[in-house]
Amino acid sequence: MVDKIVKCFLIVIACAFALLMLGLPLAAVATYALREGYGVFIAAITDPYALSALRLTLLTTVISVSVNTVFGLFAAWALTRFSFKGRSLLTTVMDIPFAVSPVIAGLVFILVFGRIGWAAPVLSFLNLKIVFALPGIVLATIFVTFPFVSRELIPVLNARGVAEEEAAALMGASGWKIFFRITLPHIKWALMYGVILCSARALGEFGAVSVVSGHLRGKTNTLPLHVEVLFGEFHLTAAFAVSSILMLIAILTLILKTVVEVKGKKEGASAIVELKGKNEGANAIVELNGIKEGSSV
Amino acid sequence: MSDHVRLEGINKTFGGFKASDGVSFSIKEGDLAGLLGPSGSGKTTILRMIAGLERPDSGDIYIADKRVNDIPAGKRGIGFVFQNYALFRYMTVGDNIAFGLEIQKKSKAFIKERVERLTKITGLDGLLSRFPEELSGGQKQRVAFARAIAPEPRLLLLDEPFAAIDAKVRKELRTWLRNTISELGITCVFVTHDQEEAVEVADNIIVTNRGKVEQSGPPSAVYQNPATPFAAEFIGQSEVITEYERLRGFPKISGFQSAVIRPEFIEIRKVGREERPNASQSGVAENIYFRGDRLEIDLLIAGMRVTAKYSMDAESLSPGETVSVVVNRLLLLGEKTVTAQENSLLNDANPIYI
Ligand SMILES: Nc1ncnc2c1ncn2[C@@H]1O[C@H](COP(=O)(O)OP(=O)(O)O)[C@@H](O)[C@H]1O
Ligand SMILES: [Mg+2]
Repeated sequence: MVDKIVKCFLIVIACAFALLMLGLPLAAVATYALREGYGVFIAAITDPYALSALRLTLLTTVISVSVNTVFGLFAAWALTRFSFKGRSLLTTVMDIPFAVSPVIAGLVFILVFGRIGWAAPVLSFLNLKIVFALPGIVLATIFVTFPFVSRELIPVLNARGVAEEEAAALMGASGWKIFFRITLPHIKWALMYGVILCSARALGEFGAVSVVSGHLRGKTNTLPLHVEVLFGEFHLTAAFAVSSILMLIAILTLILKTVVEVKGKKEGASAIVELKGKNEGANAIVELNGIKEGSSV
Repeated sequence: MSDHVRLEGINKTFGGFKASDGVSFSIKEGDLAGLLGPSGSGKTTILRMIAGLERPDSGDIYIADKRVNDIPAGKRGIGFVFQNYALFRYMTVGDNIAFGLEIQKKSKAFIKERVERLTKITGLDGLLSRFPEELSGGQKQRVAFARAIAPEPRLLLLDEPFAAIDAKVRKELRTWLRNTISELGITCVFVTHDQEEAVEVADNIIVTNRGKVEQSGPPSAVYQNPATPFAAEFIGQSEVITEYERLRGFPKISGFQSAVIRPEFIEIRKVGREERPNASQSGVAENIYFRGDRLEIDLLIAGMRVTAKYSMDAESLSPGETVSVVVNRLLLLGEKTVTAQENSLLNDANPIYI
């Protein structure tokens, strides 16, 4: 009885909290965005600055997610398939973006590539502009979203073991063949999940990008930055209208993420059950009992 | 016939742990050899080094008289059946079997024909479009076997091929594997921790312990004349007794502190039915277990508890009954040597026996 009361109480608290902290703001965004009618809403999101911010955001996301997918694959592969000195160090280093405030990450890029930065002479010689331009925004986004893909892949690769890859290698399969025929089918859901999380983060990144972008309207403003600018200029309705685009993308991402999760679980679960139940369990027992098993009959 | 596989002075350590310690042995062409030892004795490590999945720290590996230390795994032409089969779980049974042939860029027709033939040999008809997780343990084992032999390797390595299969099917598979391999005429090395399996299946067994080879030879030789105390204790239903001189007919021999006794060394008779009374001593049949084709007896003799067997056809015994016991043979254990010792009273002139 008491258990039941506690259970209900906790559930109610959790729901109320989620509603208050998550639901309410989302609803507020939607109502505020439409407060002055559809006309204003449409005008705000078709504003040339808004459109160029959307374009920049999408471009940045595509580039940084692609880069992080490739590097995430390499990193996860290296960390799970080879044992080398400094492996645990590398694992820790890869988590730095989770630990460091994005603003600081942005400042680091300014320090390195900015006008007073270490790389400034080289960059000006090559006539390259990184800070306050697309490359800087992309770099900052890559930094912030770096661990997402590899983080999803590492546990899956670890759980799976290397036996299938070894079996293929023994038959003379090349590295590429092994990756595409054996490894990729197994990690595809985890990979997709990582890509989705990475994209969501890249789309919404504010802190690091804010530092390196320079807020050049129509040039280096991403959607989140554009929202901030509008808000700062008291264009509240427009700010919320543009926010609603981000919100829509976020909801789409969530749906996609759920679909991938469910699909991945279906395949992953059966694989894990098979591994645990039939092979490992049985074997471990046989190994344990087996030292003199034959003789005890 | 010549040696197909030869290991010379192989050492391998894993972070300070010696998994292989001066391992040397050879396997003749066409032989079915069993690597036998307790878990952790380094059997898998040896197999993986032969396959090229692991590099020895020192020592040489020869396959068909060619040193293969520097030849990558994929180029050694070896078939390997992994302990947990390692079937490609995202491929059908058919694709699993065909994989090695595809890598070799064989023609579609050739692959189809070969997969069909292997399915017949392995009794996998009708399962080609299934996925590994839809198979039983025995079927998985057969797929792993078919996949390994599809590219026609001259050497096949199997790591604990029957460990994950239940006892009944295991026996059948053993016989089947034995026959199939001898038909194919390939050299084969399999790993097992089950001495019964090794003794039944292998032409030659290699006994490993703590990364070292203790003994190698035909099962009967290893069984009858174990070369090291470990081999004597590990093989057969062996029990170690320390005060063997208390058994009639076995005077203490210096340098041999203990002895291995096996059920088949012990002869139990009803009191009054002795054939060789001068070699007999009395014991107590404390417990009697039914084992299907025979009885197994917990025997208390000269203060020591050992296991003996008793025929189902002989006059019945009841638990706690005093019986008359003759120990025919013991394996005396020295520091590093083993000697088979016959009961000294049995060869003496014995009017009743002779
Ligand atoms: N890759 C590895 N890394 C570290 N230790 C290992 C590795 N492979 C095997 N070992 C160790 O070497 C010893 C022998 O292992 P193994 O060859 O698998 O024995 P077996 O197959 O006889 O059970 C074990 O103690 C095991 O822990
Ligand atoms: Mg093993």
